[in-house]
Amino acid sequence: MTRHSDVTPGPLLLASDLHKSYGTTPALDGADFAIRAGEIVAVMGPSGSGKSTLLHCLAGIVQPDAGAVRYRDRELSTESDAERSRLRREEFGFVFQFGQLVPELTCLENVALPLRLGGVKRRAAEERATQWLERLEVSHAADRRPGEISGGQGQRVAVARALVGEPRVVFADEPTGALDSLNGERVMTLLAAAARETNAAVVLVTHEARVAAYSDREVVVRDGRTATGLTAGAL
Amino acid sequence: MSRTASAAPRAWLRDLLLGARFAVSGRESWFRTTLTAFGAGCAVALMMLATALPAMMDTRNTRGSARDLSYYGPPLAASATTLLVRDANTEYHGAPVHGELVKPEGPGVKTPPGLGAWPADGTMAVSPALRSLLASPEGALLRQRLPYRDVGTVGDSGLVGPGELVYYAGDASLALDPAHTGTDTVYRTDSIGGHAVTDGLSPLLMLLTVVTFVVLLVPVGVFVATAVRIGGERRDRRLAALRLVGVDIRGTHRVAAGEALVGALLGLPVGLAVFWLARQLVAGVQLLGLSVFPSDISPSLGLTVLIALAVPVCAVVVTALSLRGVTIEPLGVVRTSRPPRRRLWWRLLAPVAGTALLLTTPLGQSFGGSTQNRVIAGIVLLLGGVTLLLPWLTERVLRGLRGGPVPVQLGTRRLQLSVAPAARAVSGVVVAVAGAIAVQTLFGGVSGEFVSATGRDLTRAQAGVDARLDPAQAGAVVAGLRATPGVLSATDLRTSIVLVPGSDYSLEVNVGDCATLATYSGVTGCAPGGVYLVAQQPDGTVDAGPAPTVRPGERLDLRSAAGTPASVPPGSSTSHGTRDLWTVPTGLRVVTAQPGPDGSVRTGLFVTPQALAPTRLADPSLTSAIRLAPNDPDAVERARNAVSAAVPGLSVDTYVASTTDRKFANIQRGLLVGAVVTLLLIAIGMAVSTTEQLRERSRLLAVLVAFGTRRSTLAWSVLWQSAVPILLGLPVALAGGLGLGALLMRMTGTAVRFDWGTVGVLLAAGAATVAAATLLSLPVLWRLMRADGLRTE
Repeated sequence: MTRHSDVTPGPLLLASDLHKSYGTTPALDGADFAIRAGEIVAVMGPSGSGKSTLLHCLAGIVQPDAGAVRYRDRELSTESDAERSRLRREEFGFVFQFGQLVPELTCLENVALPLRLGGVKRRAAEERATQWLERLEVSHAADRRPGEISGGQGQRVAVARALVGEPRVVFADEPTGALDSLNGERVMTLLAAAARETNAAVVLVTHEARVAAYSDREVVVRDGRTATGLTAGAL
Repeated sequence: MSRTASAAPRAWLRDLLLGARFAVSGRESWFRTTLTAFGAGCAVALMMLATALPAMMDTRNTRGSARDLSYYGPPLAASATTLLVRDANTEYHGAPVHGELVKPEGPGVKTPPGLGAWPADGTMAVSPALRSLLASPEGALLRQRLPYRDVGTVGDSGLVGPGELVYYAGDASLALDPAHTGTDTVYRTDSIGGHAVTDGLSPLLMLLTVVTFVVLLVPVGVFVATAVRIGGERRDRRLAALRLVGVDIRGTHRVAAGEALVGALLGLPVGLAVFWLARQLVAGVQLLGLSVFPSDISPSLGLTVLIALAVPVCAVVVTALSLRGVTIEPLGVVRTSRPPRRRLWWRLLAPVAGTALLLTTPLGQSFGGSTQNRVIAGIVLLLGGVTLLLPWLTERVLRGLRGGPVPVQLGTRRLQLSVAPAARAVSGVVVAVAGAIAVQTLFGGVSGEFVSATGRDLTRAQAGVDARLDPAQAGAVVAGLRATPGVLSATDLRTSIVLVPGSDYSLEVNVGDCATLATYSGVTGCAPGGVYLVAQQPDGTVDAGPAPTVRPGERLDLRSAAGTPASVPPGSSTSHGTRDLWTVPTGLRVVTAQPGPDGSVRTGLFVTPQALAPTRLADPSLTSAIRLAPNDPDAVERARNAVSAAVPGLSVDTYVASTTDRKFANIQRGLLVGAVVTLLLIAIGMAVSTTEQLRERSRLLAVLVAFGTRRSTLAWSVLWQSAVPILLGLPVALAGGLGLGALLMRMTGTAVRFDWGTVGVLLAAGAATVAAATLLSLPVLWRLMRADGLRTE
C-alpha cells in the first residue's frame, strides 16, 4: 500500500464557478469546491440539489458548461475525453450507491478490474486485489459473484475496488445509501480508514448526517450552488 | 392479482391484464414492447411472405400461360380468327424481352390478356417497364432493335411481373412458309393461352420446395423465440417488486406471460403492416431478377390464421421457459440462480429423432401426405436440435476459461454467467447456415437432373444465330453481323438435308468457307473447292450412316429431303420444284468430326462454296457462331440489332455453359431471395437483442465509464460475446448442415458430395451476419458510454 506524499500546499482538486444544465434544467449554478490531499469532504444537500452533478464534474465524467476544474496542475475542462478517462483510470477511484460491480466477474476480478484496465498483469492485479479484499474484510467473497453476496459485502468490495489503484481522490456517491445503518457504518469506517492511510482525498456525496460525520468538513449544495463550507477562496 | 396458488380463471385474467398494463406503462416498457412487437412483426411478415410464395409462383405461371400464343394442333388454314405470329423474344443487357410479331388474318382474332387490340403494322404495344427502358438513355440500343411506333400498353394482366419487358408489334410482312414450323419462324395460331402445360412438381422438386421452406422458416421461429425474450432482465426486476407485495411465483409467471402477450399481439398488426409495406416495395424493385406484382403476394388465409395463433402462443411458452432458471425473491432482488449444468442427453434427442425420421423416409414416386410430414418433422427436429446443442457446447467450452485481456475476461465471464442469451442470439444464424448448407448440398447433388451442360465452347464463340433462312436473309444476317462493331467474327454455315440414294438415310450438307468448315468439323488443309465427308465421331466411333454410302461421283438430289409431308401442313404446296442433282466430287476426303462452338457434333458433307453454291441448298438453315470483343458489353446488343435489322424478330442466342430447368431455377432463386431476407431479419433481430442487452446494462456501463474504461475495451467485450457463440456455432452448423444434406441426398438416392466452396461462403455469410449485427449495436454502446450516462445513477 502506498501513501501519497502530496506536498503541494494548495488544494488537490479545485473547482470554481461551475455551471451545468441538462436541457433547460440547471444542475449547477456557480458551484465552487476544493479539497486537499488526504482530506475527506462531505458534499451534502437535498435530492436534486446538484450534489452528484458536482461530483461528476469534479471527476471529469461530465464537462461543465462553464467554470473550471483544476486537478493538481491540470485543467480538466480543456482536456479530451480520452485524457480524462485516463486520469480517472490512474488517479481516481469511485464508489456508487448501486450497480457498480460487474455481475459476471467474481469479487476478486471486480476489485482487480481497475488495475487490469490500467495495464497491470492479471496475476499481479489479483494479488493486490486480494490484499484489499482482506483489508476490507471480504476476502471470503473473493470467488463469489456480486449476486451471491449481501449488499454490505458488495459495498465493501466496491470500496476495495475504488482503493485498489491507490487513487489520489476517491469519489463516493451515496456509498451507504442502499445499506442498513450497521453495514453503512462499517463501510464508512473502512473507507475512511483506508483513505487516511493512503492519504487519498475523498469526495463524499451524501444526504445523511451520520455519514457526513466521517468527513473533515462539509460542503452544502443547494439549487446548484455551494451554499456553505469552505470554498476555493478560503483554501 | 393472485395471492394464492390457485389458478382460477379470474386470477389468470387479472394477472394477465396486470402484465399487459406493465407492457404499456412508462417509456421503458413501451420501448421494450415496441421491440418485441417489431421482432414478432418481422417474423410474422416473413412467414406470411413465405406462405405466399407458392401461390405467387403459381399466379405468375398462370399469367405466363394465359398469354401464350403457341399452337400445337394440326395445321390451320387462314381464317377470320387466325393470327400469324413470329416469336421475337430477345434479350437486353441480360434481361429477357418477351416479344411477338403479329399479323391478324381477320377481325375475329382474340387478344391475349393485357392487350386491348392487336397493334397495326409498324406499331407496337409495350409493357410499362419496356416503355421506361426505351425512353431512357440505357435503352438506346434496344430502341434500334424495336423500330415500331409505341401505340399501346400491355396491361398488368398480360405481364408476369411489373418489371417484365414485353412487346407485341404488328408486322404486315409476316407470311407463313409451309415448310417452316420451328419457333424461329412464322406460324399460324387461333388460340390464346389455356393450352400451356400446368404440370405439377416432381417428387424431387417437391422435396426441394418443402426443404427450402422449412429451412427458411425454422430460423424465423428461432427469431420469434428470441424476440419475445427481449427485455427479460428488467421484467424480472419488476416481477420481484410484485413478489414483495404478495404475488406468488405462479402469479409472476402469469404476469410475465401477459406482458409478453402484448408485444406478440402487437406484433401481429406490425407484421401485417410490414408485410403490406414489403408487398408494395417489391413492385418497385427486382430481387435477383424477380419482379412481382403486390397483388400476387397473397398468403393463404388458413396459414395466416395459424401464424396469428402461433406467435402469441410461442411468446407465452418461451416466456414460461425463460423464467425456469430465475429465482424471483420478494425482497426486490432477482437472483439468477446459479444455472444447473446443462445436460447433453436430452439435447441430442431432437437431432437423433430427426435423423431417424429422415433415415426411415424413402422418397417414392410421389411426395405428399405422410412422407412430406415426416420430412418436415425430421428437418425441424434436426435443425431445432442445433439450437439446443449450442448453449451446451458454449458452456462446455467456456467452463474452464479464466484469463485473457480485460475485454476477453468481461465477455467470457458474461457468457459463463448467462450463456443462453448469447447462444440464442446467434442460434438463428447457426440454424440458417445449417439449413442453407443442407439445401445447397441437396441442390448441388440433384442439379444433374435439372442442370444440363450446353457443350458450348465460350472460348470460341460467345453468341450465335441458328435459324432456317432463305439465302438472301442469311446473307444479310451474316453481312450485318460482320459489319457490326464489337463482332470479331461470324461464321456462315448453310445446312440442308438430302436423302442418300438407295438408302433410308438422310445426310446433312454443310456449305461454308474453309474457316467456317474448320470451326464445325475436323477439316484441315481446306482449300476452295474442297469437299469433305465428316463421318467419325470425336471418340473414334464410326458414324454408320453416310460413310459407306456416299462416294465420289455419286449424284445427290439437293431437294430430296425438303418439304417432306411431315413438315408441310395440308393445303400447302409439297413441291420445291424439280430435282437439283449434284455430283459428289472425286476429291472427297473423309475427316474426323469435331464439336463446333455451339456444342453440336456435325457429320455429313462439308463443302466449300466453290464446290456447291449455298443458294442451291433447299430449305437451308444458317448457323453463325459469333465471336465478340471481350471488353465490349454492348457488342452482343449491337449484334442483336444487326440480326434484327436483317430479319425482324430473329434472335441471337447468348452462349452459356449450362442451362437450368425453369422450376428448379425458380426454387433455387426463391431460396436465395428467402435466405437473404431471413439473414437480414436475423441480423436486425440480433442487433435489437444486443442493443437491449446493452440498455439493460446501461448503469453498469456508466460506472465502467467512470472508471475510465476505454470504449474499445467494452466494444471488444461485446464482440467477443458474439464471436464465441458463433465461432462455436458455425462448426455445429457445418456438421448439422452436412448431416442433413447427406440425409436428404440419401433420400433422393443421389451420391453424397459437398461443394466446399459454397459451404465456405455460407459459413462466412453467417459470421458476417453476426459481425454486422454486433457492429450495428455499437453506436448504442457509444451512446450509453457517454459521460452523462451516470445521471441515471
